Parts: sequence; structure tokens; C-alpha cells
Amino acid sequence: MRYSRVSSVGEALTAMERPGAILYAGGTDLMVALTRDRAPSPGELVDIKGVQAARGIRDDGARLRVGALVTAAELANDPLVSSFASALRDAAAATAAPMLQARATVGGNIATPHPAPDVAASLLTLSATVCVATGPDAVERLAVEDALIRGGLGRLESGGASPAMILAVEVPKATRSAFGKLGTRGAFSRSTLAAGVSILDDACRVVLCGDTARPFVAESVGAALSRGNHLCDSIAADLQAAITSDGSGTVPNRARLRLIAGLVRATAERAGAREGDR
Amino acid sequence: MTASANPSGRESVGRPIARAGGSDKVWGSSTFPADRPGPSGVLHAATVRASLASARLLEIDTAPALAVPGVVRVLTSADVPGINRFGLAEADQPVLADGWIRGASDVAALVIATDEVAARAGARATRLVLEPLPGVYDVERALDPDAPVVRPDRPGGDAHPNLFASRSLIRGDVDAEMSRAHVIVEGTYRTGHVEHAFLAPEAGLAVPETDGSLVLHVATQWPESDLRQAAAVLGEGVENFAIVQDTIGGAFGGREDVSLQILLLLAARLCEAPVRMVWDRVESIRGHGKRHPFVIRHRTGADAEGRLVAGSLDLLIDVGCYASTSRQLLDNALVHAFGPYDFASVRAAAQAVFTSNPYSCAFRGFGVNQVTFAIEQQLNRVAAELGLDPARVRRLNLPTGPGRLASGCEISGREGLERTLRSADDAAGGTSLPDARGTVAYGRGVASAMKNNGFGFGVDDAATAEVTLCEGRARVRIGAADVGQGIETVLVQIAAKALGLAEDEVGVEWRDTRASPEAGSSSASRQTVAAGNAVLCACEKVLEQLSESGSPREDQDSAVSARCTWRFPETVGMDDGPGVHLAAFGWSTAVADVAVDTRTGVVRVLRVVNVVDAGRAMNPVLLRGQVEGGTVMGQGYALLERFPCRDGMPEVTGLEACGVPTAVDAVPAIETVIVEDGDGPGPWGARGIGEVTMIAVVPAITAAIHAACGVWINELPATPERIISQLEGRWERPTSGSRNE
Amino acid sequence: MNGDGVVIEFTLNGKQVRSPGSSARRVLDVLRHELGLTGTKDGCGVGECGACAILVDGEPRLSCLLPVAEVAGLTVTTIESTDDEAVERVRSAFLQEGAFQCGFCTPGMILVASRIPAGASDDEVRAAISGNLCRCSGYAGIIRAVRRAGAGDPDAPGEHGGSA
Repeated sequence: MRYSRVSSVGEALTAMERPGAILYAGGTDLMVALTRDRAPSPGELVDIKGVQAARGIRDDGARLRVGALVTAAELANDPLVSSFASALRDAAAATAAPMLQARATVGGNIATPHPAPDVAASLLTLSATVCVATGPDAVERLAVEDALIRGGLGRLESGGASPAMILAVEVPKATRSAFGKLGTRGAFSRSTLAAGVSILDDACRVVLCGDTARPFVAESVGAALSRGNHLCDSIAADLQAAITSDGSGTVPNRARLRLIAGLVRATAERAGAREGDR
Repeated sequence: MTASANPSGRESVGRPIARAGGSDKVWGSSTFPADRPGPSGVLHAATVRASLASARLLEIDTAPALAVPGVVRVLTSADVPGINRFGLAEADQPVLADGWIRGASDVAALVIATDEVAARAGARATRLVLEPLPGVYDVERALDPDAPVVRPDRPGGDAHPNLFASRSLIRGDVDAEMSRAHVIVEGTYRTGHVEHAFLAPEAGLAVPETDGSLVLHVATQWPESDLRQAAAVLGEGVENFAIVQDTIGGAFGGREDVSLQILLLLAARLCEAPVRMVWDRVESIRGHGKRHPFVIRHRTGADAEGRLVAGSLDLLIDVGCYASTSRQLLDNALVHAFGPYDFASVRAAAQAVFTSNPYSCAFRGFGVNQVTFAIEQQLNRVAAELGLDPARVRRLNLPTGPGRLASGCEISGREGLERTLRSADDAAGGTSLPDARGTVAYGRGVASAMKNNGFGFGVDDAATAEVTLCEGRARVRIGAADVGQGIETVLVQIAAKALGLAEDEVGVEWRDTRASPEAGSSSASRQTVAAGNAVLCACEKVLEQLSESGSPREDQDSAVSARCTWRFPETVGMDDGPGVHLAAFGWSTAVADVAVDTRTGVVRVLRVVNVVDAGRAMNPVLLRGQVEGGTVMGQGYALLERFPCRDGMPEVTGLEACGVPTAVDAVPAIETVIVEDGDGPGPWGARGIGEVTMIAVVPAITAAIHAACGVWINELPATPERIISQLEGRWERPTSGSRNE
Repeated sequence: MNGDGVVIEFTLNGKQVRSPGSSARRVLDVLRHELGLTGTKDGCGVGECGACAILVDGEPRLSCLLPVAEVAGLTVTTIESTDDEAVERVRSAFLQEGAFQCGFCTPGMILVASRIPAGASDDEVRAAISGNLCRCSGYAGIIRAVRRAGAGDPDAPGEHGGSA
């Protein structure tokens, strides 16, 4: 396995044409795949951490532009993200442990098929857009849900028919949002259940994660939360719909529905939602 | 410095002297087995394992492995020169699978290569032809009439072929007493597999010596047992083998059974070369046993004052695919199953059954954690039903003086438990819990535990030490494995005190089986007692010899040496009826404060007061470390730790998925309270406390959960899902306690 | 070793070293197998246990997830280091508090703890070491040791001070 560095999008896309080349940023998923899952070694790791265009957090007026190479640690400590995308801050701060937070990147969380894409789910909560470079000057914009599907199929950053690299995410500013999760333990845990809530003009957007292959926007849960209604039935309905369209997952039992409802409410409270019923 | 001129040496026991080898550990210079690169020409081994837990192994195609550059040999069962079976208590596990795969830990073949990468590549290239066989994966279906037979290789009898061991006991008229009970509490409790999660995965290096013997560098709890098992497999005398212990990276029972020891010795013998093998975490998790899952059904009757009048109990124990020490564990669990409490009548039936799950093995507590969780939860429920203080119910049912446990085991000294209850009251009282806020409710729970020291059940449970005093320095030889608990340090302290030396004038040599006599396993909370007494006895013999020879110690030029074997008091097996089944016990009481978020089911443990009767504290720092470590392991067992399997194969490959507690999870406030009654079986009245430190913590936490939100946890771990599920149930139906009106 | 012909140079515990193996090789393997420094431990290989933690330019990093090419030209500190004052302070605090049992997590734990700012709260300490698993100690002794090291006086007698 070789290792090379690139410093521009153009170089990265060119490098991807080489046989066996794979883009490499934090390595938190890739190195694990190589070690634990004994995945076949790629021929070449193309380190993109020097690509300036994919770095940094910027205030673009109505939105934040978060570079794909921004790490979870940077997100967790950034004042702009705290003010205008606190769901993203929550998800980043609850990612693994400090040494992994220092390496795990936004782009990696979207591009890699991952059992618990918390950062990506928080971006979905915030209705973010993913900017994908398909050429030195060509940028394609994708909704997060579409990027997750393509990322899940391995068509972003590596192995796709045409080379592409996630450049950044654009996050519409939201002053009231939060992300909450439950895992096998209190820290450094994959989420077994996660919920994102963002509130705009008293309308709630809710994202659920854990019972389906990918996080999804739970529309009727958001509506019920906005109206202060009981949540369990709408959670069941949304999950059923998501599972039907997704082809995987199981509708949870009553206790799990109540657990999801509890997590959604706790998260909504943090996001600044109105009091709901019990 | 001469011995008698150093009065500080006499104070050694009870002082917080620094851990032996501690400096190496903080500099990273301790040698763990994986840190040994091996001599030049060393070969590397890698295992081939099946993708199924239950299958016929029809064929092993080694040709693709042998084609991998660097691979020199692939060993299969045909290469085993002796008996292809090993096992800690019964030799029933194949070293290399011969026709069948019975569990996830089975090794089908061993690839030997000139480097590690080639060995692993060879292992991946080896092709196994498997025919799936039906297995038993649900312990509660193992004895169904149509359940697949897990172990057709074992001799049959009249009993169900999946029944590995069973025992029942009856005392008094349970039915009559139950009908007179004021309150009857019924509960079914389930506990699951748990991974030991010692931090250093298995590794070792076997080296042929010029005299034809083999030396194995490894980390193990019981080296002599490993060698006896290996000798039978290799068809040689045990004197042909030796173990040199490297630093042991945690054990907790998970290094008592053989893992890679025999494979390495076999490979080194057959290849006539040094052979090294290092398991990664995935293989470590697959390759050693797990804590026994239990299903425990209790029916407990009490009178209006809280006196226990009747106890009815069914224990179902998941042995997994191999015997290991499950027969012994069943008896151990049964002896502890009614706790230290007096019951006017009891009836119990225990069954240990084979399944196709990972084999179950020793794990800190040896069956006592599971039954103590259940009986303490029962006691707390009885107290709640009667509106009584749970500590008072314990006292009321706790006899003092010599007597018998409800299980029939003769016992004395149960007032040790009373002392821990009293200290727990003192330590926990005075602080109160916060009032409930929003969806968060607070609760405090109390529970107690007892745990045996030593193997018991008629086993000749001994340790031998050899002490040599020369020029004011003592050399202590005893093969007691220091797994991290600090037995080396404690033995230094014992010898220093006994001989009137300073600690740095005592050296304990425990690593090499060729030099140090056998101390038995570092398990069953036994080494402070067994190895400690053996060292003390050998020191006393040395002193006797000195006083007989009449020469003052200061002028002693020539070495004086003595050897002593210490044995636990005699015990009897359960087959021999009532008697002393277990020779000694230790006691503890834990108080836990928790916060339960009734909306998300998340439990935070705020504080644990863990009161442990140590008999005599040998080293307060090491002791505190055991209590704190045990507390968090208990917390993990109560709330976090899981080991999901599918069709007998572990679904987890890492420690995160097992729920091993992190620093953020760990109880932020652990108050260690040590009771020193001085009446333990060890030197100067010490007791073994390695296991009892975690046992009471589990039911204390579950009792606190009840105090906080009103649910009785009946399955471990108490995950958010289970708590919410119980809350859901509580909203829908009344509790299961019933009253005879 | 399947080298790719690229020699990686970096500063290890104050000395310049070279790794002639593959540039994508894990730093963990380079340290343990090429350079013979086995104080850095391989506990899981996937970043879940923290036993392999090292400092790269003073920042805690998981050496099991780090290709050696990424430390080219940088400064790597391992548990064998003798010239890092903060590491030394934590090391002696660990000894004084008896903050370890089996010792396998200890090298990584000490290195990570050495970068916790003095005066950090217990909760901050817990979060900082949440990626370093210890199965023996229940973490309590480790927290005490970090607190002691942060207090800045490594030679002060401890609650249970004294040594053999």
C-alpha cells in the first residue's frame, strides 16, 4: 500500500484515476476496515488533508460552509457551529472519544457507510446540502439524504464510475436545534438510537436514526411535536413508512417507541421546543 | 542492612507499599507476551476458525495456504501426537477440530509461517468445507425433547443429552411454609454473556530448549494446569514443558482456561522451532469463554415481620459448547443461591445445559454474581412488599455463630456481613438524595454479598512456597500469578513482616514453573489466603531453623531455606451431603445512589459506598484498587455490558459493542470502606476480596433503580430499553408480588 | 515488509529516526516492530481502547489508526520518553497513587493524561480519558493521579504515600 498527498481538488480527482487509489482523510473508518474487517488493502492512500478548499468553517450569511475536512473536534469547539448549528455541535461532541474526534471528518461521516452516522444525521436535521467536486471546477450539490444513499453505496470519494470528492457541507443557520443519542454506554459509543430536532418558526423537523439503515426525516413526528401531540403513533407511522421505502429494519415494539419518544422530547427540549404532552 | 535492625519491616503488612514492578509499568518497560519479538528464526502462527458455531467439518484444504509464500506448515488434528482434547476441569475441547465445529472458539487449523503477515494470509487462504448442523442457541430450549444434541460425542444416559450437570436440594416443607407466608414474591431473572475485556489480548512464544524441553512465554492464571493439559495433548511428560510468565494484562477468570498455550507448544514441538502467536481483539473475543448466562426463578415466602420462611428456586445455566468449570460453577452458585440468609425451608433445582453458544467459563464471581443479583432483588422486594427497611430484613434473617447456609453448607462468621451492613449505614447515612427534577428521579439501594475463598467441594486446594534467607535477604519462590491484583506485592509484605525485613530485602519469584513451586490458580479469591499462608508458613519454618541452629540472624552467612505447602481446610463435595462445601467466605455490602431519566431510561450511578470485609487489609492502596475496579465492573454488569450472539457466533468484534465502561460511565464517587475483623483464613486474618468487591454492587444498583422509579429489574444489563419497557409494563399492570390474605 | 521505497523520518522521544518500511504502515507497528519500542500497546487495533496512544507534536493520537507517513517530519513522544516534563509529572503521580494494576492501559493513559490542562475538573478529566479503557482500576485511582499531577507537585507525599 502506497501513501501520497495531494493539495488540490484537481490532484485528488486525478489521483483517484490511479488503480487502487482511495481518498484518505481522518482514517478512522478506513484503518479500522483494514485492521478489523481485514478489508483488502487499497493500492494507495491519497491523503487529502492538504486540500485547502475542503478546510475551515465559514459564515456565508444565511448559511455556514463547513469544509469536508473539518474534524469532529473542530466542530465541537467552534462558536459559529454552536450558535447556528447546535445539532451538529452535539453530534460532533458525542462522537467517539477525543483522539478519534481529532481525526474524524465531516466528509468521512457522509462518505463512508457507517452504522451510526451521527454527524450526517445532524446535517440532515439541519437540511444541509453536500457539495461534491466532480471536476477541478465542477461542483455538484446534493441533499444530505441523497449523499447518504450514494455514500452508502460507496459512490462518493472512491470507487465510483467517475471520481468525486466531498468538498463541504452548507448548513442553513438555525438557532434552535439539538441532537441526542443513546448507545451501549455513556461515552465513546455508537448510537443505538439517535434523534435530531431543529425548530424554525415553531415548525419542528425531526430526524431519527437507529431503526433503519439510514437516518431519515420523520415528518409526522415533526408535525406532532410542533402541535404538542402524543408522539408514539406518529413515530410508528414514520418508521413504518421509512422501512417500507428502505426495504430494511423492523417496526419497534411499544417500549422502544416510548424510548424514541422520550429521546425526541428530551432533544426537542434542548432545542428549545415548546413543552409537549406526556 | 540486617534484618533485626530494621523494625520498619515488621510494619510491612497493612502499609500502602508501592506495587512490585510498578516502575516498569509506568515506563512501558514491562514485557507483556506480545512484546517478545522472539529469537531469530522464530515462526509465526495464525489460527483458522470456522464461520459457523455448529457444523460438520468435512474437509480442510490446506493447499492454498501452503502456496502462500512464507507458510511452512499447516497443522490439523491429524498432527496432534497425544489426546486431542483439553479442558480446565474435563478434557472435552479439541485442540484442533476433528470433524466437528461445536462452538465459536474452535480452531480448525493452525498455519505456521516465517512472518506474521504470511501466517495470517495462510489462515485466510485455508479452505474449510462445512456442513451446517442445527444448534441450540436459546438456553431455555436446550432441554426440549426435540432440541438438537449439542454434544453427541459425550456418553449418553437416561437424562436429556444436553443436560450437563444438575443438582437439587430440599430442606423442610416448602409447600407448607409457603402457604403460611404473609407475602410471596416471585421473580424470574435473566443474565447474559459478558466479555472479560482484559486489556491485553492473548499472545505467547514457545521456545525449544537445547535439552529438548519447551518453554512457553505467556500470561496465564494457572501455569501448571496449562502444562498438564498440554502434556496430555502432546503425549509427553509434563516435565518436558515449562511456562515463564510475562506481565499479565488483566485476567478476571478469562485466562484460567487454556487459549493459545497448547497450540503454541504443539507448533514448536512439531516445527522444532520457536513459534510466536499474537491474537488481535477480534480473535481474543472469540477465543476465550464468557460469563455464564443464568435463568433464575425464585419464589420467596416471608412472614409479616420479614422472616424468610420458604424459598423455591430453579437455576438454569448456559454452559455453552464445552464443560470448562461449569460443573463446579453450578455447585458454587447453588451454595450461594439463597445468600447467607436463614430460610425455614428451601427447595432448589439447578441445571447446567450444553448449548451451541460460546463456552462459559470463570469470570470474577464464579456464578455468585448471578444468584446474588436474584436473591438480593428478592429480599429487597420482600422488604418493599412489607414496607420494611431492606437492611433490617437482612439483619433479621442473618444468623450469627456457626450454622448452615440454606443450601446446607456449614458456615460460621456470618456476623461479618452484619459488620458490613453497619458500616454501610454509617457511611451512606448523613447524605440525602436530591429531589426528583423534571423527568429525573433519584434512588438509593442497598444489597449485600458473600463469596467463597478457595475452590472447596473436596478439591485439595493447596499452595507451596519456598523461602530462602541469605545474608539478610529473602528469596520467596511461589508460582502465584500476578494478574494485576498485586499478589506479588502482598507476598513481599507477608515475607517482610514474618522475617522482620524491609520490603526491598524480599524478592518474590513467581514467573518460572521450573523454579517456583505451584500455588494453584489465581482465582476464587484464593491467593492472598493460599499463597499468603504458604509464604508465611515457609518463613516461620526458616525462623524455626534459625532458632534451632542458635545462630543470631545478623551473622547468618549461609542460606537457610524452607518449603511449606498450605492447604485450605478440608471440604466435601455436594455429592457427600451437607458439610463444609466451601471453606471460607468474604462479605460485602454496597449502597448505590442513582439518577434515572424516566423518559429515556438512562441510569447514572452517582455514588457507590462499597463496604468490604477484608479481614485484614494487607495493602490499602492495592485493596482500594480492587474495590474501585470491582465497583465499576459491577456497574458495567448491572447497566451496560452485553455480548450478543447470533447462532452461537459473537456479533461483537470490539470492546465498544460489549459496553465496557469508560471513565465517563464509571461511578464518579466510589467510597471504599474496609472492615477489618481479623478473622479471615489468610495471614493475620486476611480474606480474599478480589471477587466480592463487584457482587453486591449489581443488586444495589438495581435496588436503587427501583427506589427511583418503581421498577424491579429482572434482566441484566438494565439498559434504557429494558427500563422503559418495565416502566411501560408498570403503567399497564400491578406488580407481581402477592399476599396470602 | 513490502516497503514502497519511501523512508519516513521523524523525531522520536528527542531522537531522529527513520522508518524504511511501507509509508502506509501504522505508526504502532513501526514503533513496536521496526524500532523495538514496545511500551506502546496494541489492545484492539481499531481505536477503541487507547492503549496505543502516543503524542504527535504534543497532541494525543491513536497510533493504530495513523500511517507513518503522517508523522514525517513531526515529533513523536511515547511512554519511553525521558524528556517530557508533563509526562514525567503524570508518571510519578501514577506511581504515587498506585493508579494502575495490570499496567497494559497505563502507557497510553499516562500520555493522554499528560495533556490534560492543570485545574481541569474531574468531569473534564473523565472526558479526556474516555477513549482509554481500563478494566482493572475503575478509573478512580487514575483520576486521583491526574488531579495530583495537575496540582503541580509530583514529589508531595500522597494520601497513601510512601514506597518500598
